Amino acid sequence: MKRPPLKRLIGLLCVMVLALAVIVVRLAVLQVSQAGAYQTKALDQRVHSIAIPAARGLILDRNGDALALSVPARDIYADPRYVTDPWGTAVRLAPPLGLDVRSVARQLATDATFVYVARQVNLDVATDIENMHLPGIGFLPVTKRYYPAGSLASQLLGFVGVDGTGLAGLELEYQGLLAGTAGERTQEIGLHGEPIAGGVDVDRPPVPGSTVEITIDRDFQYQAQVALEESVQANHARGGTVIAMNPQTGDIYAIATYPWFNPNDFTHAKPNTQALRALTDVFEPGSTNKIITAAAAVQEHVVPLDQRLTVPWTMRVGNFTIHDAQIHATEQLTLGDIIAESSNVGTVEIAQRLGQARMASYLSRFGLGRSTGVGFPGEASGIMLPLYQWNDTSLATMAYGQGIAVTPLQMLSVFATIANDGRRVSPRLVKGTIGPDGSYHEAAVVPGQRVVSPQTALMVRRMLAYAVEAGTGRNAQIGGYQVAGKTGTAQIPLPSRLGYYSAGQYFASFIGMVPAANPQVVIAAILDRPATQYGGIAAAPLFRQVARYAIARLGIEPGRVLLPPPHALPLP
Amino acid sequence: MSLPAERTPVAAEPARRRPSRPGTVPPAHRAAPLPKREAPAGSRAATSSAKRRKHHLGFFVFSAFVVSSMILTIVTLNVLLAQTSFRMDAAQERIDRLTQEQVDLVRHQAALSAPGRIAAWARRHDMRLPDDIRFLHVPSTQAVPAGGAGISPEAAP
Repeated sequence: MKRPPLKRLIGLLCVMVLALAVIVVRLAVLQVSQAGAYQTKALDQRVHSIAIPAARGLILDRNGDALALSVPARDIYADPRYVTDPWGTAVRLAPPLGLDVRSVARQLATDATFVYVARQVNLDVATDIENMHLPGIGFLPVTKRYYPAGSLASQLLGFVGVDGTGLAGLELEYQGLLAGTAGERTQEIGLHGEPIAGGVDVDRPPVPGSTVEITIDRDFQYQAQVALEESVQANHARGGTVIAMNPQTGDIYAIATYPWFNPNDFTHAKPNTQALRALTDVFEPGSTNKIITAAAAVQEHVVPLDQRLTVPWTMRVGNFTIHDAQIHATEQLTLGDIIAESSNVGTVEIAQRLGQARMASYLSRFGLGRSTGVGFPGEASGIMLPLYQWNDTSLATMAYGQGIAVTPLQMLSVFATIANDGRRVSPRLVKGTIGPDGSYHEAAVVPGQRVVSPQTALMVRRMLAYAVEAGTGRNAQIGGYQVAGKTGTAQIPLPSRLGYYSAGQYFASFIGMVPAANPQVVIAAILDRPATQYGGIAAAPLFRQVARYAIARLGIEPGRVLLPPPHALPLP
Repeated sequence: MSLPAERTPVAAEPARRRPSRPGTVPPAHRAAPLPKREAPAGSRAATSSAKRRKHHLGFFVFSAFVVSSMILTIVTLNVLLAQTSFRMDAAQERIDRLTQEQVDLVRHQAALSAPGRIAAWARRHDMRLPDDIRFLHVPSTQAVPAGGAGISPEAAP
C-alpha cells in the first residue's frame, strides 16, 4: 500500500488546526468577552415577570365597621379572532352585564386581538357567564372596591378607579397606605410557554395595604345624613351640610354634604354630588362669625360685660349703611344681648372698640384663612384679606361675618375652640392605621393651641347658651339639656358684581354645642338657600335633631347649667 | 543502611528486577532463596480464580447494598419532601380559600349591618327613633332646681 504523501498530510493537519483555532477563538469571544451580553439576551427571552396586585386595605369606622373593602371580581375580555358568532355571543353576553347588545356585538366584530367587554364584574355574574363557555371570551381575576353602606359618607370616602387607584376623598388622600406594594412572580418560560424545570422561579409576595380607621361613627353618620336630607327637603333648600365633632380630640363623628352619591356607581354620579363641600367650598359665615368678635372683646376687656351699649337699627360705616336684620327702636344692649339678638350694629360697635389689628389677629388665631389640617384632598383655606388690604368697611363687615369666606369645618373649629375652653384642636378624620402585620398605629395628635383663656371661653359659652334660651336660637333647644349655639343667616355674594349680594338668598346656619357647661359634641348645620331663609328657623331644628341623636349615641349627660351673661333683655 | 527484604519468587509473575541503587548489595551477593515446593500449574490457576471470584462477589454484594441503600434513602427523602410539599400546597390552598371566605363574610357582615338596611327593615316593621330623649335621675337629698329634670345650676364666674 502506498503511503499518502507526507506533505499533504501535514497540509491537511495545518488546515484542521487552523479551523479548530478559528472555532476556539470564536468560542472564546462568545463565551468570555461577550458572555454577559448573550446571557442577558437569553434571559430576556426566557424570563418573564408577572405583577401580583396587592390587596387594598379596608376603611373602617371608629368602631371597626367596614366602610370600604375590596372584593374579588372579574374583568371580562374578548379575543375577536376566536369569536365565531359575534351577534349570538353578544345576545347572550350583554343582558347579564346590563350592556347594549349592539355595542357588544360591534366590539366582538372588530379585528383587534383584545377588547374589554366589561370590567370589575361581580363574581356571581362572571361565573354565570363563564358557565356559558362562549368561544373567544376570557376572564381576568381582579378586585373591586365595595362600599357596603352605599352613599353613607360617600364624599368623605371617595372612590377608586378600575385600576385600583384612589381618585377622590380618603381613597385618594391615603392611596399610598391603602394600596400596599404589588408583588412579582418571575419565571423562566420555554418556547411554548411552559415553565422550565429548574429554571428561575422567584416569587416576591405582595404586601397588602394598611387598613385605615377613621373617626366617623357609621350610625351617627347615617342619622346625620337622614336628618340633613329631611331638612333640605322640608326647607326646599338646594343642599346642606352637617358636621359633628368632639371638641376635645378633634375627632369628626359625622360629616355630610347633601346631595350625595353612591360610590359603588360613581361613574353615573353628578359631579356636584361628589365633592365634600363641607371642606372644599367656602361661604360667608354671617352671624356665626360674631363669636370671634365677642371672644376677642371679652379677652381684651374692650367693653365691660354689664355695660349697656346704645344700639340703633342702622349705622353708617364709610359709604355703606349697616343695619340689623329686623327693624327695631334704638336699644340699650349688653354684649350678651348683642350676641343673643345677633345685632349687626351692636357687633360693629364692639369691633370698632377692638380695632382692626386686634380683630385681624383674632380671626387668624381662630384659624380663618388657612386650612384646618384635617388632611383631605382639595380642602379650601378660606378667604381672608391680609390686614394691609382692609378698607374702611372691612372691620365692620368682618365683625358680623361678611367680606370673609370660610369652610363649614373652619367655622365649626371656631366653635370647638370655645367648647374646648379656648384651646384650638385640629380636626381629624383618621384615628389610626392597622399595618399588614396587624400592628395598630394611632394617628398623631397635634397639640392644641391656646386662643383665648378658659374664662373667656366660658363667658362666650354663657352668651351662646343665652342666645339659645332667649335669643335667635330657640329652635335649637333640647329638653333637659342646655345647648349653646349661634345662628347665622349669611347673604350670598354675586359672582358677577363684587360687593353685592343676591336678594332673598341666604346660607342659613346654626352651630352649637351640648351640653353648654362641658361640651361633648359640637355640631354645624348649614342649609344652602332654604325657602325659610333664617338660620334660627331653617338650620336650628336640623341641629337639634342631630344633637338629640348625638346625646343618645354618645351617652352625653345633661351636666350643670350655666347662668346667663349680664343682660338687659328679659329672660323668657 | 538496611538490606532489601528477601522476596519469594511467584511462579506466575516474573520477578521484577529493581535497578541497583548505589550502596546496595548486588543481586549476586544476596542470600540464596529458600527452596519452595513446586505446585502444579493448572491447580494453582484454579485456586487463584476461585479466590478472585469470591472476592468479586463480596465486593458486588457490598456495592449493591450500598448503592441500593443510597437509592432507597434518596427515594425516601424525596417522597417525604414531596409529601411535605403536597401538604404545604394543600395548606396554602386552604389559606387562600379561608381568606376568600373571610373576605366574603366581612362583606356580608358589612352589608347586613349597614345602618340604611337596618333602618329600612325597622321602618317596614313600624319602628322609629324616639321623639325626645330625657335622662331620669334617682332622687337625692339635694333639691332639684327648676330648669329641667336633673339639671343643677352652677354659678358662673
